[in-house]
Amino acid sequence: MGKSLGFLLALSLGVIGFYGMTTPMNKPLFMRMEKEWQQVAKQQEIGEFYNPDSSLSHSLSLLTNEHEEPLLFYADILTPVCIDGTCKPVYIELYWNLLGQYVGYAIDKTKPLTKFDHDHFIAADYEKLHELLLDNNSILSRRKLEDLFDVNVKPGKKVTYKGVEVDAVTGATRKEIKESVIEGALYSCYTLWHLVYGQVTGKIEGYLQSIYSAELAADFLYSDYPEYQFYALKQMSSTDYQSHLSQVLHIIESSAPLIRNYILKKLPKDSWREGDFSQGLYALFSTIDLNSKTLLLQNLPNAHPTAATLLSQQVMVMTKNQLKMYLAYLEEDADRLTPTIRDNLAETAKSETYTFTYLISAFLE
Amino acid sequence: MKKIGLTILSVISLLLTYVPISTAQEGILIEAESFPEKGGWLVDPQFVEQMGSPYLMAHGMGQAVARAATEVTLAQKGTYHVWARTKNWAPGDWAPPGQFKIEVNEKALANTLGLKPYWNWEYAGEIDIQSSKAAIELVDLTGFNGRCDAVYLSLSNQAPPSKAKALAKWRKEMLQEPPAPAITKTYDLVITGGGIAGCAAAIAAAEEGLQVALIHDRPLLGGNASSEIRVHTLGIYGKFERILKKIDTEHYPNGSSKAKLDQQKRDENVKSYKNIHLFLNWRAYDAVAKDDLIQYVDARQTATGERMRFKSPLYVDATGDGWIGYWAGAEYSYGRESVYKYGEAWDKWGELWSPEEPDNFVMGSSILWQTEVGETAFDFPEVPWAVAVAKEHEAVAGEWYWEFSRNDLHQIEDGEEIRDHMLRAIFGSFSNAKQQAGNEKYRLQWVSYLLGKRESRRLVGDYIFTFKDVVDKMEFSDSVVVEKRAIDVHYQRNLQDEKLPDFLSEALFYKTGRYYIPYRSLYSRNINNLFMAGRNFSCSHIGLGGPRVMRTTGQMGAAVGFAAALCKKYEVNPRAIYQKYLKEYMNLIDRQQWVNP
Repeated sequence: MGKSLGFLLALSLGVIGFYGMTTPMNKPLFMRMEKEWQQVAKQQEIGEFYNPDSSLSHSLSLLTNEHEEPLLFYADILTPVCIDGTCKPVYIELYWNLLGQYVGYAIDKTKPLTKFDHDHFIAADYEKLHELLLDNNSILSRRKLEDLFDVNVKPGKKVTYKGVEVDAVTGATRKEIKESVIEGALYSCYTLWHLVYGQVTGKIEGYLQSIYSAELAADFLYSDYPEYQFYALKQMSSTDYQSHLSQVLHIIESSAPLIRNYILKKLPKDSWREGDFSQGLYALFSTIDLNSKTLLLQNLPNAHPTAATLLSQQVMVMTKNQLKMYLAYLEEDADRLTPTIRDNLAETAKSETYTFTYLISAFLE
Repeated sequence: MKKIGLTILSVISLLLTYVPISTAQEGILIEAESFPEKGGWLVDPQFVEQMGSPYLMAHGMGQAVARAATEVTLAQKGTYHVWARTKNWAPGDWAPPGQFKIEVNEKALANTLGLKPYWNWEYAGEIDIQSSKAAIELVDLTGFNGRCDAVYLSLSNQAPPSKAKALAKWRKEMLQEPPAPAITKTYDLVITGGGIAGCAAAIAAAEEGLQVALIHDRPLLGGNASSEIRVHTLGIYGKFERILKKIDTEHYPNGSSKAKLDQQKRDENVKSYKNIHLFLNWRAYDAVAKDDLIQYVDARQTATGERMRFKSPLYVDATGDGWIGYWAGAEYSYGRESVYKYGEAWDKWGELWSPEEPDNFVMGSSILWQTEVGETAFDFPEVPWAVAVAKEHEAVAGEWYWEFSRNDLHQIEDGEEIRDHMLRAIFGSFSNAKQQAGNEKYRLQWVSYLLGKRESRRLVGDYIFTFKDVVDKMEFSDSVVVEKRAIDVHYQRNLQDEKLPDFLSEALFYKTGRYYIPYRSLYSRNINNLFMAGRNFSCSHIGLGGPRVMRTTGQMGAAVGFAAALCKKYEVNPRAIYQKYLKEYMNLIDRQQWVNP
């Protein structure tokens, strides 16, 4: 007990010692936002976040460029990792993007990370740690530390946690945990993951809201990062969508299905009718994911009239239900089945590779 | 005993106990599921509402299954044309996976079947029959889920109708079915669905002395927990430990063959109640309400086609898909509500958790499977039709996250496509894994063919249970179900990265303390004698996330069973228990935890 307290005192002094530094010390080992990191010119402490595991608070900083535009959040961490009363320090510098999502870390090469058997991390371990910290839905988020140890395993290793062998995990989750944590460093992984996804994320989200401006919103929308684009899209009004249709189309084309689906569900009706945009959107039909295809079909009644013609050239990528939706749309109003669309459908009905030609033939009859 | 599904018109089958005959026609319709000898073919009744009938399926996991056979007696000799109603379940640029042939009197008909990409009559060929009897056999060629709904023999070369409505009408005419089932049975309580919720409801009601009919469309009880689907039961027992321990499972890995032990326990325990009248292999197909009261439920034996009407003052919909409520006109919901509708946001996960705009993109269905390592190398056939779904994915085992949902697919209406997609994912991923050195001795031990559904229709009760009730830890005067398991909502992995397989999901867990479900979520708002228990209880999409696990649904069932007993005692409907007899009801519920196992 006394030993732990002493360690905490030393640790606290160590943490205090880091205050007042102007920029991060070490080049990150892994960094998803290298371009932003290169631009860091200033460090501004914006608050603290608490780590219930260690009962320590850590300083949180905003890193900005020379114009004081926000780039990254940063914390220089010294935290104990304790097993059965024996504590070891872990030195690590952590980075988050402006949304509070982990993006990378650095270490002091003179203070490498170690496993419980005192072996230093090897290169693959550092990489695995980065991958683990990137996983915002890690199994570590929903398991208590003690649940990760298998009480039925006979003690065989020297290192134990509450009398139970370290790194022996229960059968049902063994595979998932083994895949995500570093062998011999389960507790370090656990501690760091919870630090990265703990109170700090709420602090960053709150801070972002306090500085979110029209300028930042535009930066986000036109940035190369899908998560920034998504954040901006969520804050946008109908008018905003209408004003940025070309970028919205670009995002639909380049983003993950989740973001595409969000946009296609949220797009104001006026936007669907806008000729160039509608044309650009429905031209993507063949290349985008199936769920987005469904949303394009569901919005056909809102879309510019050219959309139905564009789709008639892309029928062969439709699922059965999607084809039914398309044909039902055409059937609703006789004017919708233009000669061009009819010809295109008739051509597709001759296909020997498309499975659902029988539906088209029945429709044309 | 021969079965009813055989119909003769102008020709006579002497094997039938019930043989409608019409001299006006020249054909004989044989429902495949009624073949007395099924060989290795399985009866699949899951998609009756969509494709019209239970059917036989050759689920051989790549090994051709033993023949199914029947014999009919013909009134007339001559050249018969033969059709089978079937489909190619994985159409594409490859040989269809589920091919079979028909043999009549040991002669194979000319055409291979299972070729067209939709349920249809495929022409098997013609045969000259000069005997009075015809032995008909289904000969599986591939072992990969060939399917046959019915066989039709006719002296005319006119194929039966194909379109759903015309076919249904034709079937009825051929079967000469009277409008109502000939047999009506009356009980105190009719429960449809023998999953964990239905079983718990039956036990609770039976213990209180009610005569209970439990109608279930499978041979084994337990639904998703059965040894046919093999999902382990999760959640807590609440106040019903004694009852739920009779029917739940151990915490073995999903898909484990240990499910068979729990199956035995469950079946024995439920059957031990003399006043639970079990109707296994009976699938309900209609429920009719008048003046907002269900009058009866009609069901059909899945193999013989025999029909029966079930009457009682009270009904429980434990079908999972809310069929009884749906047929009776109960209000129901399907899909994901807008996050704003009930205030169900979890900002950390945003759209993946609950969308701003409502949609029908619900949690998916799973097919579990298991492999084993044999003594010797085992060849698995090439399955290009499956690899088209599996793509590069390799696997020698499945788990809960083998799950499929897509926004153009309805978990009920498109159930067959969803099941087939999962079969392709499994066979394809296994085939890919088999190409790797070291996997030579792996073989498929078991692949379910039954969909393990998570979410479909939710019947609307007097109270709609939502995520907010969990976050706020709402306690109700009628809290009859308690749970502490995390709210667990799934999304498809390919939403975040479209390169990932479309048949794998991810779970989001919202950790929580104890939360409660009120009795008012367990009876219908507008059908006055209808209870519901199981995943079709009254809740939102996110509200379903936690209580959908089977000890929790079992609690719902038990709570409903005890309520039904009080309904009988006072001759009232479910709502009156909350309005007038709540104290007595809650005492009854409370007492359960003190009854010794």
